[in-house]
Amino acid sequence: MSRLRVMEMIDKPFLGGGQAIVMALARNLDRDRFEISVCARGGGPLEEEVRKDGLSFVPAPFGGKYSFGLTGKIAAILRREMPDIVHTHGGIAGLYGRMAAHKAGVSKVVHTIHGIHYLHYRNILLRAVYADLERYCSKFTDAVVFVSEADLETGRRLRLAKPAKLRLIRNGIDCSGLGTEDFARRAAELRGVLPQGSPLIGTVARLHRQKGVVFLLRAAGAMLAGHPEGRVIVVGGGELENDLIREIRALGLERRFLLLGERADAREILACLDIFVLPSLWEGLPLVLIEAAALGRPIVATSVDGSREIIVDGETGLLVPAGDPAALAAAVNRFLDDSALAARLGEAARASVPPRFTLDVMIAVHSELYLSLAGRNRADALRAPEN
Amino acid sequence: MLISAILVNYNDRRHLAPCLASLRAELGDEGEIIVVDNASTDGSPAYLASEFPAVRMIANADNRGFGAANNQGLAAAAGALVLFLNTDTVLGPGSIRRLVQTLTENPDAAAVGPALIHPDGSFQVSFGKNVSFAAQFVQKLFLNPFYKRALRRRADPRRVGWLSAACLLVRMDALRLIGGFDERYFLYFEDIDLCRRLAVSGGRLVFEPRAAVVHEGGATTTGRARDSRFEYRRSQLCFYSRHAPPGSRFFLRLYLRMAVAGMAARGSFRGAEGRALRRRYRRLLGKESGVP
Repeated sequence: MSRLRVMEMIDKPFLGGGQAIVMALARNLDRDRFEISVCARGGGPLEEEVRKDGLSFVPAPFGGKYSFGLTGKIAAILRREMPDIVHTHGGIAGLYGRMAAHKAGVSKVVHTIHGIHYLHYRNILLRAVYADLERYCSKFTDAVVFVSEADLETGRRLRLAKPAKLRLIRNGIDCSGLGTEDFARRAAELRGVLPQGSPLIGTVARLHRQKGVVFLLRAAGAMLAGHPEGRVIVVGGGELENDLIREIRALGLERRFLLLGERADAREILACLDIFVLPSLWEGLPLVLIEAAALGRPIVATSVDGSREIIVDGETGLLVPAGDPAALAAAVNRFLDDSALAARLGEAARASVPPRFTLDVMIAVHSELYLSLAGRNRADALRAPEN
Repeated sequence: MLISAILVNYNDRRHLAPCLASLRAELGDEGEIIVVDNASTDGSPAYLASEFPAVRMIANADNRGFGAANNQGLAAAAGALVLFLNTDTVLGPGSIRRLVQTLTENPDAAAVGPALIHPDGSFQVSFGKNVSFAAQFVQKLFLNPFYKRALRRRADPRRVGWLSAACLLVRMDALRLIGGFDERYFLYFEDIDLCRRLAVSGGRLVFEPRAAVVHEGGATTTGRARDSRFEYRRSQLCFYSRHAPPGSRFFLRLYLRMAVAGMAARGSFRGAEGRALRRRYRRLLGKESGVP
């Protein structure tokens, strides 16, 4: 039997959460059964990663949210490539990619919603428009995948697609690299490079309103008050960098609240943190939180959909209301004052990751989904012979 | 060993002797010199090996760009302080001692840069407050002439937002924290990017005009002005995309579109080389520019 040709499609070529899932699928799906290609805007680190792995990369001219003529261009690419299944990830690839797949007559279309971001837009009108677009696109989508139970429930409530099309596939991470001696050595080396004082409190997040890094900044003064050598570090870049720098200066925290930018060694930095904080206003199913848990960090996260499914308050970490610096600082201080509690919850977090959020499970479920869609397709073909 | 001086050489053999001689004299016994050669074709590596055997040389088989080469030097450096230095410079007497002293007096500072001087004695503006489309516009048009005159009268150290890496003394631990230069830049703006990351990771930047270094400037790019202008724009767009306020990238792209139209009107894109240049600009300004 010939291999099933699956195209994973995402708009931006930078390495974020959605891209990490795309890469995980492309790398780990069984190559005897699937022929995977990745379609995204060219020229970024994603293209490099894909090509490095010897997988096929299909560049597509994705632009911003409003790209006229993009559907036609992607449809032309799809007619040329003609994959059996197109799997779109995220809003922009989901909108244009699915319309293009419909236009080009791709037989099966899967879409993953990595967090229902538009529900958190400040513009109420846009929220409604995007939800309607989602419903429209779902008509020619065979499976709509949500990454968390809460999102699945929201999708059901908002009727984003017919109930039979809704699926839940939790994000998973590859934990195998985390326990190795090599990783421990790299992390220890890095600890020698990071600020020597403790505690080291930090997060790994894009500098976008969604991630709420500004609330961590506003809480930093209270967290560090009793710890003159303590530092808060933030790994990640983004559009809010300049706003954040301005506020850091205004608060006089230049020496204590450090921005380290985008880093390839984010996992090693996570391993060096005394406390990991995820101050997000909303989430899909945050990979970084799973990673911090797998590394046994004491975790303070905001109680938002997605994060709540990874961390149980008081058992595997502390949850605080989103957008509340005082609560965030109080939770961090609880850990700082009670190191036994921090160690206990960190250990519990580590134990809670497998098997719910492992890569193997995520790959297996995707594999099953693709095969069942294709199988149904073959059955249809048998029933209705081609003219 | 206290100071590791790192120089990146690209076809600049003629400046090496005066530069290294002044550097040797300034460092005394307190430093090591590392030269990273980016695949020069003017015989620099052989020249260095025979004339300056004490200099540690790392010879690259191809030109990996300025930031990547500096990072190679950094990996080989043992000093607690690192001096990044261009090859077309001559250190003034006492300049290194002054820079070290300023860094010692300012424990908050991660890096300190001297006044850079043209061979004719006039000042170069090798520092600024911040970098965005508006800030660069204002600095180039209004502030630079003012700075140049003011530097002649006032010579006290001051906190700045960026410094040129033509001559820059940086603490090693600050460099290790940020992981050195961003190798995605080939030439230009890698120093501004470095300074930016030093500053936001807790280190101050100090301009020290009491230390003076003669800097010829553009020694490795003469004869390839159009190529180096393109590299400048590419790096500028890279920097804006990563660190400037959102409007900057938009305005720079708009400005570059107009500049490209102007170049076309002046006939800069004639001939095979011109057409190749136009293709590079088109790619830079297109959607798949490779500029994140």
